[in-house]
Amino acid sequence: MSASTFRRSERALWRRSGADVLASLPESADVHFLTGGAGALWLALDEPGTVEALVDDLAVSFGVAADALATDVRLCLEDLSVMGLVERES
Amino acid sequence: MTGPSPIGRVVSDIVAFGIPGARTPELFAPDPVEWEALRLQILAQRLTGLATAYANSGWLKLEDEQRERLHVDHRDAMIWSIYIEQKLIRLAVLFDDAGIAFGVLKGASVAHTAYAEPCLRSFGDVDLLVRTTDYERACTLLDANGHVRQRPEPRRHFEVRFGKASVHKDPTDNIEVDLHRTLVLGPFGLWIRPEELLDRAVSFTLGGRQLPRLDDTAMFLNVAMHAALGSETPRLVPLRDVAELAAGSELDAQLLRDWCDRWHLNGVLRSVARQVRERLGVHLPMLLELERLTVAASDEKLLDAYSTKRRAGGMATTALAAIPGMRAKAAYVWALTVPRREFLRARMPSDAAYRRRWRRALEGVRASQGSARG
Repeated sequence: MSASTFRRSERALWRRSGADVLASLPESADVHFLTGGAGALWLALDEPGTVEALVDDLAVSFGVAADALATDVRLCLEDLSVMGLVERES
Repeated sequence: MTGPSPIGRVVSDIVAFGIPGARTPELFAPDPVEWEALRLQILAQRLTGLATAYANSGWLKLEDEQRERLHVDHRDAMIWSIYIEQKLIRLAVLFDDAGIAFGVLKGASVAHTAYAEPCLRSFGDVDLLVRTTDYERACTLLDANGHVRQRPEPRRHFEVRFGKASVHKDPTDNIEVDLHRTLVLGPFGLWIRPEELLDRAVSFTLGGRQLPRLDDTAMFLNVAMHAALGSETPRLVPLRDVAELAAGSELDAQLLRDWCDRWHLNGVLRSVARQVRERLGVHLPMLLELERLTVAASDEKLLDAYSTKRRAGGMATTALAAIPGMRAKAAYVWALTVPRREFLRARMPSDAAYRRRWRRALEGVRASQGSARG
């Protein structure tokens, strides 16, 4: 997984709402509310990146060590991938 | 002459926020009563995105509870915008499959192409422009796909001859679809050639799909006409759209002048440019230039029909000026004075209202004959 690059799906319909993000797909009945770290991760995906790059980026933003975020970022990317909002390129 | 109220001033500053040439805002910290009044304005004018940006900039000092309320209001507005975009994509598939060319007007197309971020521009419905030759087929298509037309036309084929648009709603999603064949009601809507605007369509990406929209110059014309003629007093977001496009787009000035000359639009653009300056406090060279346009007295008079005389049926009577030929004028008056029963049931709650309509139409004929003689 660590070698993969993650990017927002081109099909995602989304909006910033303060620090949070609302995101959905054209055919989805659900609009997902990405708060806190999930919202920050989404915004960090302005540029596609590997897990490591995204973790580093967010660690700087939040002012914490990268190790403290790595697991949460991986899990969040997995969730967003399952939702179809994020795509993974190997 | 008194200036705007403190709430009016801050609402104007919110609408103008971020536009180059906007006046310097004034710091505002609303008390609870002022906040309620301001919030109502923000909701009514669909300004949650701009208000959030404005509050984040520090010009609007909100208590934590007020800030949270604005956040929730904005979130709700954004959810609705996403639902509308989903609907827009479904309609695009439908229209493409049926071979009906269209252009997305206002709303999503402006939010995604003119604004720095789409979250700054909320919208409440879908607006689509189709060619007049496709209009009735598009109505049928919407009808066949679960939409209910909200108001019948006065007579069959009235809209393709004299009308602007119809509203269609699917009861399962409750989203209004405004299907246009021209941009505004009345004479200015009849003088313009919307097909020329559609011929210049470009595309924008939404949900991974390319959707057609008007190019920047045609979009500017659309938002300007909507701002100046769409309501008795121009709404603020359309004025922001005008300022946004005037400030940040590459407009074809020569083409705009050509359209203005051919479609009697000098007065419309001059009026909207003045409104942007007076109501938003925005000074942009391009709009100041439009304020210097020369307007024919007859066109100036027609503008009154959209503002001060709007409620007195001004547009219905002045439309006669743009309808060529006596037979067509007669068909127009006949349709409005003796409409179908379905139209009456939808529009006329009482006999008195119906009689008033008769009177207005006849006045319109007289006024038209008078101006023809003059």
